[in-house]
Amino acid sequence: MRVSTQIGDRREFILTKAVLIYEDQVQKREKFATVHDVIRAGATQQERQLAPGSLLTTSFLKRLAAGLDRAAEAVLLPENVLAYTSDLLIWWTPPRLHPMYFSDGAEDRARITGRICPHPPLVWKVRRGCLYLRALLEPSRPTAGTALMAAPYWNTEVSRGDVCEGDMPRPPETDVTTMLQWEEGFFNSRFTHPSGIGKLTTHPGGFIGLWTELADSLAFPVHYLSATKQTLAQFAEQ
Amino acid sequence: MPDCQRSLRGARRRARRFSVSSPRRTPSAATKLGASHRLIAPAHSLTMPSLEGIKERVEVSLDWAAALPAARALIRNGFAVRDHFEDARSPVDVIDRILSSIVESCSRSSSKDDFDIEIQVSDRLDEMRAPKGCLFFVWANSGDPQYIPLRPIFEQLEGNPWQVRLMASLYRWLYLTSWRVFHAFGFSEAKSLYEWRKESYTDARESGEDVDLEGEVEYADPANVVSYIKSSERLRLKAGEIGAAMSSILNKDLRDAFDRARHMFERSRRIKLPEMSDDCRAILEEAAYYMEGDPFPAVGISHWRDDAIVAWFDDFCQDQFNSGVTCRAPIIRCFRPNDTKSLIEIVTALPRMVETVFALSEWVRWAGEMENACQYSDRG
Repeated sequence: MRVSTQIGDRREFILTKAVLIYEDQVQKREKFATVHDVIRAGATQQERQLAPGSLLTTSFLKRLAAGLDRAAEAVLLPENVLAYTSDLLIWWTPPRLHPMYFSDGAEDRARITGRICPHPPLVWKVRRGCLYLRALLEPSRPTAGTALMAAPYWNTEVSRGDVCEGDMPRPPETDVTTMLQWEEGFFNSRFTHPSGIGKLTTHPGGFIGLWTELADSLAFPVHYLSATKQTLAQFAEQ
Repeated sequence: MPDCQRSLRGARRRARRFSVSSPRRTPSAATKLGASHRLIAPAHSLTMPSLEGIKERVEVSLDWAAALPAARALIRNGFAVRDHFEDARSPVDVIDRILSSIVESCSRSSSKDDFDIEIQVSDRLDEMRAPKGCLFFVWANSGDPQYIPLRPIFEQLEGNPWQVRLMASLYRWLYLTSWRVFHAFGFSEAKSLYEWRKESYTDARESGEDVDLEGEVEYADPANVVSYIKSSERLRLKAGEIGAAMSSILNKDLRDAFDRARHMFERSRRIKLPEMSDDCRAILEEAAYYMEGDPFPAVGISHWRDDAIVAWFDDFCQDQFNSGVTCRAPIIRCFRPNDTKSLIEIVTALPRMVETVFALSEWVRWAGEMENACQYSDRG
């Protein structure tokens, strides 16, 4: 006579593989991962060891993702979202008025800090937690072929548009509900220095000349935007 | 602007002031990493990292919320003791231990289950499909069918004036007791099969088919079964006659066997399983869709191996074997997890069910010994 009770499921998981992640110790930006089988060694075959690894491949990730797969909830996209994947979010914002803040320094920037300035239409990109920013000539939703302009801000690199975030406030997770947190984190932080050697604006007075002229005005003159060699599609793929 | 000041980039930003030589200007693209063979493991590393301290095995229990009301009800009704909780990993374990201990408490050292009973409380009948929000109690016999021949007992009562009446009662006690815990095969089943087969043969003959009606059907006509079985309802002892009839059995072993059968019958009549609600009945029918066959008989009871009951018992079992269908368990109850009343009724009935199976098993073995001891030349 046998008795059994089965309510719910009981699963047993056994360690079979390990993923090791190596990180660049200087910049902390480059990483790679190796995947290893877990093998048994020793006289009694009880000692667990990692077998030699191989570079983590896309096919492994697909298998892993398939094993971890859960039905994703449908996400309703706000109309300003341009692209959205698991590690990428791109959206655009129309022109706006917002104060500019600068770190302590020369007298010229002290005259601008805290004053309300007009800002151009912007394209925001967050990929794997890093912010990238571009400007637009037209205050309308861009298409794949729309030419992008350099965002006319310090701490924003011209050739790629990546923002050196420093200790700027930023949301812990990025999705369609946290876009405003990214925008406010950017504008409510101090700009400290130019990033890289690109041209941020075509204003004859340069960066300080541009924002000195714009302080307390209502519209951003887009002819002061500096062109890049990127379209929206290239920016998304970058 | 205090709200702004809180989040300003601040002095730390200046300390990391951009330098023309900074690698940030030209971050390495992923494609500029070395070839994969260089990345497989650090070149300076002689051994792979240790796995000491890493948990190698993880057991996960899911969706056992349905077990909580059942476990709680068993505790409140006094079925649980401290041992049931020792090292239990989930409420499911606790329920399993309680059921197991009920079965154990009904077992004596000599107890043996000849019917291979499987008792299960589950949230599904089919491994692949678990209906939402219900539990099943399943009681099934899984061994080969057993057989109880009554002829050796009948002949030991030779000369006893109560012989036929005692045998009629014995047949009913054994047959009706068996039906309380599984499907039994006796005169009624043989008669039903005979009539169904005779009808289908007659239809076939009228349709012009060449079937051997006399050869196959008349040979096993239940009308030829001994009268104490065929007319057991009419011949059985009345309540007031049982004492005198039992006292007339001079052989003590035989009298004890009759006594055990009667006692077993009376106890089995107190087995009360809950009625299912209409919706649970519908869920059960849906969940048991794959159990296409009738329950497999656990025991056949007849006078001797050459009679019509055994002929049809064999025929029915062969058909079941050959059809390949999954037979339905003889007792299945479906109930809602919050319907703890049904669960408690089942658990309360369980000891009597278990005792009945042990008692029937003992009778099967005793009848087998009686059969082996006799010297009939026509044993089948």
